[in-house]
Order: sequence, then C-alpha cells, then structure tokens
Amino acid sequence: MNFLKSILTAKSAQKGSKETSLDTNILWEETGISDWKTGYIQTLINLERFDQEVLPFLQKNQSLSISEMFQQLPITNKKWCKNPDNQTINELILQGNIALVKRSSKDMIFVPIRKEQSLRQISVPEVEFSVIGPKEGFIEDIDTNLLLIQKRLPTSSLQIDFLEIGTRTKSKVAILYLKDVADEENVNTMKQRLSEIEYDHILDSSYLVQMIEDNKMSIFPQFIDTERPDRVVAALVEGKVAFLTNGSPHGTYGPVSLVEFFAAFDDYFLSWHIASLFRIMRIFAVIFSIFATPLYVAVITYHPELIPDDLMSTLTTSRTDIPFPPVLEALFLELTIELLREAGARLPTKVGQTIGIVGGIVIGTASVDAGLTSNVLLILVALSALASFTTPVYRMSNSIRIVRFPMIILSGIWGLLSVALGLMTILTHLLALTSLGRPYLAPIYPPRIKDWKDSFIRLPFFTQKERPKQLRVKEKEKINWWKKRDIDEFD
Amino acid sequence: MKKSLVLLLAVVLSSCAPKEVLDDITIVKSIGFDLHPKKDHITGTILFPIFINEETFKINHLTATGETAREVALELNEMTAKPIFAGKVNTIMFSQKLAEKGILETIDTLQRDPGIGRAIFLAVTKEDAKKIMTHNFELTNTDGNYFSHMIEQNEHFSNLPRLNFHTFLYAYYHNNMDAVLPYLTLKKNAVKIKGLALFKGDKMVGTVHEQQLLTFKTLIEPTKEGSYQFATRSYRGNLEVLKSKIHYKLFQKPHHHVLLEVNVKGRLNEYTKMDAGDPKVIKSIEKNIEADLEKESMKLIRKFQRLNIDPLGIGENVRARTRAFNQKEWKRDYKDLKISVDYSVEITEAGIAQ
Amino acid sequence: MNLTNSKYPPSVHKNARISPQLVFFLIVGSQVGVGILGFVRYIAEFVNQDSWIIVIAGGLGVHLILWMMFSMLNKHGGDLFYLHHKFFGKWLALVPSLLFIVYILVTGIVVLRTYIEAVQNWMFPGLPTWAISLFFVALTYYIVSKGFRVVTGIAYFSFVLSVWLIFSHYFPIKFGHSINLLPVLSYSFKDYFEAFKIMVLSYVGIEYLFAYYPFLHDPKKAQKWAHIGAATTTFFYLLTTISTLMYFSPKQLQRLTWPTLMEWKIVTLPFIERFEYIGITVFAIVILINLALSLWSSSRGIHRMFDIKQRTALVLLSIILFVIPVLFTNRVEVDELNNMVGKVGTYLLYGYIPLLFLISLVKKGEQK
Repeated sequence: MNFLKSILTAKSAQKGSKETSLDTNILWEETGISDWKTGYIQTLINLERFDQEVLPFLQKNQSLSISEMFQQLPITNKKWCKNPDNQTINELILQGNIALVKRSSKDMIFVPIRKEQSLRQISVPEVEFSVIGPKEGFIEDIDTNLLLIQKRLPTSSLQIDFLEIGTRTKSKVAILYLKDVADEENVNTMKQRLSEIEYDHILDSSYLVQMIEDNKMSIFPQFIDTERPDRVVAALVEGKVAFLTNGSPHGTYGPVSLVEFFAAFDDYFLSWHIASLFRIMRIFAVIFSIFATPLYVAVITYHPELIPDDLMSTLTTSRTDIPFPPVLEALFLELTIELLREAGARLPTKVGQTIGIVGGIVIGTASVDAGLTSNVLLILVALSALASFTTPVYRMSNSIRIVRFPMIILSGIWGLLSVALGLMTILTHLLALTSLGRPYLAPIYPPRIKDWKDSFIRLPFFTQKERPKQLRVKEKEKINWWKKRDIDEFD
Repeated sequence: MKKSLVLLLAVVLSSCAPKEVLDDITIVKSIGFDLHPKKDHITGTILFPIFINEETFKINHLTATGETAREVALELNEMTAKPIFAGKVNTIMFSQKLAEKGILETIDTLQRDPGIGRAIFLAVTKEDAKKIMTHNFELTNTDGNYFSHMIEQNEHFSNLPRLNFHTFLYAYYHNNMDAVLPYLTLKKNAVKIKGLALFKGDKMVGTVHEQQLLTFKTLIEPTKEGSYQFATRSYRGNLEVLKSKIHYKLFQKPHHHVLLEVNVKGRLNEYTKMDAGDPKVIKSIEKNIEADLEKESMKLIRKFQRLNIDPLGIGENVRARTRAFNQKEWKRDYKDLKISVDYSVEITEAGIAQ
Repeated sequence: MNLTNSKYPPSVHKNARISPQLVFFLIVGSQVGVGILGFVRYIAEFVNQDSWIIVIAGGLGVHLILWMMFSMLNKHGGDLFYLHHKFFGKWLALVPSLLFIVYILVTGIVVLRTYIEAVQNWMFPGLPTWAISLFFVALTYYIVSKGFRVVTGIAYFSFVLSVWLIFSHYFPIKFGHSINLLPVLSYSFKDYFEAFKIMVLSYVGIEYLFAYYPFLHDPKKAQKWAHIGAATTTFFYLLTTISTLMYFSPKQLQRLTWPTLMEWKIVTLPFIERFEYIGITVFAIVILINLALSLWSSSRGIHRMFDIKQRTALVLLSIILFVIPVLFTNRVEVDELNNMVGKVGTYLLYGYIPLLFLISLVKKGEQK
C-alpha cells in the first residue's frame, strides 16, 4: 500500500486539494509475490474470471513491463492509461474494470471483467399485451433492448447514437433512427434536447420524456413510450426518432400526434375492418369519458327542458332525496372511482382486483341505497371510468381522467355554455401543442386527409403507401406494389 | 394556464347561473285555463308530478285565480314547495267559455316565455279545463303525459291535422289564415277528441264535427294517414287514407273562382259487401266516396265563409298565386267567393283478404 | 412609436403561414356569426318572400369584393397597412388604417354583445354581461396569443363542430309551407335595395383578409378557396332564409328577434328536446372564431402600424373588448350598434374597397 499512498500524496500535492480522492470502495491488493497491484470493487467484477484468468497470468509473468503486459494479457477490450488522474481511475473501476499497476510506473491497465448482472428474462409485455403478434417486451438492460430492435431491423441505415445523461447516475441513452428516412430536424431536435438535460439522476425513460416535452406544462403526453420492441421498430420505419434508456423497460419515440395514442399496436395484427371499428370505438369512448358526466350535470342542473318526457320521470326519481347538487354528487363519485383505481394500483395484483370489484359494488350499491348518489349518475360515472381505460397508452388514459374534473366543475357553472367553452379551451391547447415541433393534432388539423387512413381508422395495408406527412420524412413512399386487376384478369 | 385558472375562479365566485336542478323544481306537465266568474279573471290549473321516493311519484294538481296568466303563475308559485318550472309543459287547455271570450293575453304571456316549447299541444275543452285536468284518470294519466300523447298519436296515425302551439301562432299572426285547435271533451274515464275549435283572431267562433275531421285534414295539408267511414243505403265501409294531396287552381275569368283539387289514395279496410275485388265495384265505391267528400267539404267551406274565417288558408294560397294580391279586396270578397272542391279517390288495395 | 413598420410588406415566417385550403374556414368562420340567428327578419321586413334573392345577390356582391381584394393584394403584396402606406404616404395612411382597426374591433364587440343578448334572453336570464364577456374575452385572448395558426385551427374546428347544425333545418322545412316563397319578384327596386343594404351586415368579415393575407402560403390558390368559402356562407344563409320563410308566417316572423332559435324549438329527437339550447351552445363556438379573428386582426394592425409588440396590443384590445359590451345595457342599444356597424360595413365593402381597388390599378405593382 505504501507506494500507492505516495502516488496519491504526490498527486494531491501537485494539483491542490480540489483533486478528487480515490473511491474508498476500491480494494487495492498486492498479487502476492510480484510488483503488480490490482484495484477493483468486489461487487462489480466477475471474481471467478479474475481468479482464473487474470491472477494466474500475472503470477506467471510478473516481470513483464507495462506495455508487454498490455499486449500479452489474454483479455480483449482492455485499456492502457498513461498517468490517469483519480477521476478516470474511479470512473473506469466503477464501470467494472480491474486496474493493474506496476510498482515503478504511473501508468495503469484497465481490464474489463465486469460481473454479468443476472438479467430479468425477456417477458410478455404486461400493459400492452396483445393476443396475437409478438410477445417480447423490453427489459431493464439497454443492450438487450437494442438487440431486440436490431434483430428486427437488420439494416445499415439504422443509426444508433449513444449519450450519457445524469451527472450522477450516468445513464446510457441510445437514440435510434433510420438515416435515410427520418427527418434530420427531428433527429437534431431530439438529440439536442436530450443532450441539454442536466439532472443528477435519470432512473427511467419517464424522467427524460418529461424533460424533453415541447410544452412541459401540458397534461397531455407528447411522446409515446412503449414496452413493445415491435412498436418501436414500426415507429422507426415510419420515420420517427426513438430513444432507449438503460434501466428502463420502455422505448420512447416521437414526433407523435394525438390520434396515435388511441391506436393499440395490435390494431395492425387484426383485419383492418375490426381495427378501424376498435379505433373509432376508443375515440368515442374518450369523448364519452370526458363529456358524459359534465353533460349530465349541465342538463340536470340548468337545462331540464332538454330531457324528453319519457326520460324525465326516470331521471327525477333517481335524484329524489339526494341532498347534494349534481356537481358535488358527480365529483364525489368520480373521486370514489379514482380512489378505487389508485388503491387497486398500489396493492398487489390479486388483492387489488378484489378491492376494485368489492369496493365498486359495495360502495356503489351502498351509496345509492343511502340516498347519497343517484343510480343514473353512478352508471354514467362507472361507464366513463371504464371508457377511459380503453385508451391503450397509459399516460394518455391518465390525462383523460384528469381532464374530466375541470369539465365537471365547468358544467356546474353555466351548464352547456361553459362546457362548450371548456371544450374550446382544450382544443386551443391541443392546437398549440407540438411534439418535437410537429403539430400534435395532425392529421385532423392541419387537415391532411391522406393521412387519415392510419389515424382514427386503419385502412388495409395496400392503401398505406405513404408515410405520414407530419413527420416530413425523406423517403415518402412506403410501398407501391398494389395492382388492381380487371374482372377475370389473372397474372 | 395560470391566467385561465384565475379567470375560472373569478367566474365561479362571481356568478353561477340560476340553477334549475331537476329535483328542486315543480315540473309542470299541463296547464288549463278557465273563465272565472269574477270579471276579467281567469283560473289556472297545473298538473305536476310529485316525487314521493326513489320509485314512486304521483300526479298532483293546483288551481289559482288571477287577472293574467303571469298573475296565476305567481299565485301558484306561492303554493308549491318548489319553484314552478314551465319548461316541460306539454299541453295547454282552454275551456270553451274562455276561448269564446278570447285568449290573446294568455297566449301572449306564454309565447314570450323562452321556456315554453313550440312543439307542445294547445286544445279547447268543452267542459272546464279544470274539470278535465283534475278528473281522476287512474291508470291512464300516471305520468302527466296522457293528454299530449293522446293528441300526438291522433295527429300521427289518425284524422287530426298537425296542430301545435306553433301552428296556432302561425295562423293567428297570419293575414290570410285563421287558427284551429283540437276540441276535447270528457267521456267517462277518458278524454276524447270531439272535433276542432275554429278561431277568429283569438276568439273561438265555432267547431268542426269529429266526423268532418278527415275532410278537414285532406283540405288543409298533404297527409299520409287517416281513415274515412263511408256509408250509403246499401253498404258501409272504411277507407284507410294512404296518401292525400291538395292542389289549388285559380280562375280569374269569367269571375273569381277557386278550385281545390284533392287526390286521395287509400285502401279499403272494411266493406260490408263481399265483392270488393271487382274493379267495377271499386270504381263505384270511389265515385261514392268522392261525392261524399265533396259534399262534406263544401259544407265545411260554406261554414267557414259564413263565419268569415279561413282556417284552410285559401287566402294564403290565392296570394301566393296572384301578383299584386289585394288584402282588403280579398277580405271583402271572401264571404261570397266561389269555392269548389274536386276530389279524386283512388283505391289501390282492398285489404289483405279478398 | 415608429410609423415606418408598414412601409414594407411584412415578412412572415414559413412556420406561421397556413396552407391555401384553410382560407376556406377563415372566410366562413369570419362571415357566419351570431347574425345568422336573426338576419332573416330584417330583410323580410322589406321583401318578405323574396328575401332569398337578396341573400344570393349579397353573396354575389361578396365575390366581387373578394376578387377586388385579392387582385390588389396580389399585385402589391403585403397587407392593408402596407397598401395604405404605399398609396397615401406615412402620415395620411394613419387615418384609414386606424379607422379600419377600430371598425374591426367593433365588429367583434357587436358579435359578442349580440350573443350575450341571446344568452340572457334564452338561456340564463339575469346572468351578468360582464361575466360572459370576461369568459369569452379570456378564451379569445388565449387563442390569439397562440398565434395565427391556432386561430386558423379554431376556425377549422368551429366549422367542423357547427356545420351539422344545417341539418336542423330539416324540421322547419318539413313543417313549413312552400307557398310562403311565392310569388317571386313582387317588390319595388327600392325595397330590394334597402334589404340589400341590411344584408351586407351578415356578409361582413371578409375584410379580415386584409390583415392575414401575408400569412397565406400560396395566395393565388387561396383565392379559389376564399371564393368557395364565400359561396358556402351564401349557401348557409340561403338555407336559413328559406327555412325561416317557410316556417313562419310574415307577421309572426316580424315579432321574433331570433327566428332561427325559435325554429329550433320544434326540433325534437328521441334523446333530446328543445334544440335551441344546443344551438345557443354551439353558437358559442361559432362566435369564438369571429372574436378571435377580430382581436387578432386589430392587434396585428396596431403592431404593423406603430411597431408595438402584438402581445401588448392584444392585451389592450382584449380589455376594450371586455369592457365595451358591458356598457350596453339593453336590446335597443344593441340593435343600434348592429345598425351602425352594418352601415359602416356597407360603406367599407361597397365604397372604400372599390375605391382602393381603383387606386391600386393606377399604382405600380410590386417589383419582383
């Protein structure tokens, strides 16, 4: 240990007290007989390989000089640093290298024998599960995730750029795009925004998503994150830019538009009729989810004239004896549903399900029996909660549930009038919103009818000849193989 | 976003619109107006459901008196637990006595209220409106919609022409037209359509008998429903009207003459002789019905001319076909104008059995 | 204050420009306003069953004016403020430019106040004017502050969200009397002229083009869409006129302030009755684009003339737009305001714009 200490003191004397000290977790060991010392952190290296490959070699060849050692040590990817400073030593050792030092030299050799973390198996995507189609989901290791993508895209035009983000966590981030398809402006914006991030810990891609959004105050997500590698690949091929973060089982891509949040990826695995029907249904579900309760409250509170005669008695009887004004009643019920959802999410799966069902039934029936809520509103609120869960992207379904609350409050102020103004406020916000600088509402506005064929409907693949205009891609055509045959004509 | 939040708060704090929460109002279903013995006073009766608990409700009624409809409403409001809400009124009835005196004031109040719809039904009752409305109909009027449903289904599937608040106002304010309303009467446990009440301005001046309803309907508007009961000495039968259209023809020379051509298509629903499949028989039936209808309609038109009213809008039709139409001349000449009606009836099917 | 800003045509960033088809929505959005709920009564007062002729004549007139506007803007480029500067010089340009801005703002005020009138009469009697005004102005401010692209987007959505209302005319036409439209052409020229003058108020709104012309990507192509837009407006008005004339008897019509709202009372669907409440609500969306365009154009005008930041101008004008409607307290005053704007609009469309067009013919165009 003595000579090392002398190195240390010498260095600190040179550079003053600002010099970072060596990590105290590093274990410095003499190899026994020789001039060689090794430095490593036990938890980070593969001790077995160290004992079997490095140590015997060192003991056999202790007399080698540093350069000879560097050439002869039978391990790939090692590094030879001339007179490294403490920070480099720390960094390299923390990455899982073993430092080799010879008594007489200030140089070091870093040998990478990282301990392979036993990874989680690639498993079925849980949130975006689909009945048909691939069942592989991302895991927490970026190399595996990249492998999953590269396996599906064996093309040289797939460009992967690496970044390191997080002053402390040093998370590895990979930006992916297709060189000959993706718009450079999109790529540069993404790169620039990611590289400008300064934050000490990045534990998941969600951190990054929130930091690079165009409008950070918006409650609408401006990127899609998915746990499906195939979805990322489809986005890349379309001309989008994606990034993966080490430690996160999600790939994130953009630019995206609002309608994409209502497209489940298995829409592409189903026949186009069914897929279109499902997509339209989901969009209706969203509209219903946001507006059903507010409209009910507005009509009941301010415009009873609108209710047809036959419905009148049903609605009125359901509301007799209820002490609260409709707004409060609606808010109370919505909050109950949110509570149930939150409780279900916090508890382990099995208990959570039970809580959801039991809580729903018990609280629902009891509150109607107790005369606290009307059963019509209960049906509406339950339906709209259900409807909000049909949104395939988790972030979006959360946003939609939140948007409901201001709408309900608005409906309690001026009825339909304020609901209409609320709708226009949301629309204005959406109109002004962009994703990577591209309009968020495309292809609805600006109206690009050509792009409607894969938005709130999905027409058959042969119609999808062009990539979406919103992305401003370099290569516009996707395919061009469809030939229309005449009657009784054969190839 | 912050700004809009501040705004929201400001609005919430300042001004919630006046609330009309469904269960905190007295939802009036029908209103009836009667003449009060006191001079210039009218009696108003309202019908409204009272919600007892979460399953049951009962129809209740209240009566008040005042000089105007507004006053009656105020009076009634002083008696109800929840404020009176007129937005869902579906029938308004006037007693014949009141109608004969004039209903202008009441109508005016009603039409100024933005809450009152225009697709609601107005009717004149032979008895006092109060008597009809407060009659215990037991099962028929459990929800307060009985009167309106009764009139509506008769308009849609039977001989009553399309009449509602709007058509009344349309004719009432029309220079060349006069209003009509359904004329109702009480019959045991039901309300029955007795015919039509004819108005001159805002005053009721006469009635159309229920058996003349179909004739009236074919004369006033094209229609796709209705049934006509016909009888001669040798047979009786029923014609179901499938389609009826009316055309006007004007003859200036040698003298003013208005001809109403009515085409009726229908099928025999009921016929007391068995040979309705024979084309010759059909022809003769057609001829008979035509003659019948023409006679009936001429009777009606004579009556209108005698009363100097024009519920069919003959004047309006003449105006539309005359350049430089002279209102005054028309008014003056109407009583003695030559009007004739020409029906052509076509029987297309004779029921499903021969 | 710097008056030389309008010496040159404005340079508009390509991201702020809109594609030519969208002019359609701007034109329809700026023309159709709360006026469509009541204009038939005013023209029917003069020509009754021939009102539809006036509607068509007014529509044709708009096409002519629109053509004039486009041809002078195409020739000289820029916007109205640039034209004024070019034709009249730095100081003299101030007068017409300022008047134009005031006029544009007043059109916004008229729409807002008239709509508030409708809400107070039909939906919420007793709701204070200032509250509704505040709500609308704040939302309009929000829209305009997001830029012209968002304003156009609102025009698009207000069209999409309200165009289905034309189907509501099915009911009044079904219950209406076609003989109400006969006989054709039975009034004197003077009557038609009076009616035409009143009709102009319903067609104003195209003048906003003077302000947003530089924001069009391809003005030549846009002209086609502008004309289609104006034709669409004419069609909407025509439909409304015909259904109103058929549904009401002439004297009955004259007793109504809002015939279209009254028509909606008859619309009955299985799940909803009393359609006028829905109609008024949808018209909140329709007038929003009127307000947004009015505020955007006037604030843009001030920005162009005095080189003041548009946002600053917008704040000032928003406050004016909020305050002035509150000062009008009754129906008569609102009617008078409407009349006044109608008159000024007539002079602007059929007097000033043709005059400007003549001047522009004489002046040399833009060098390329």
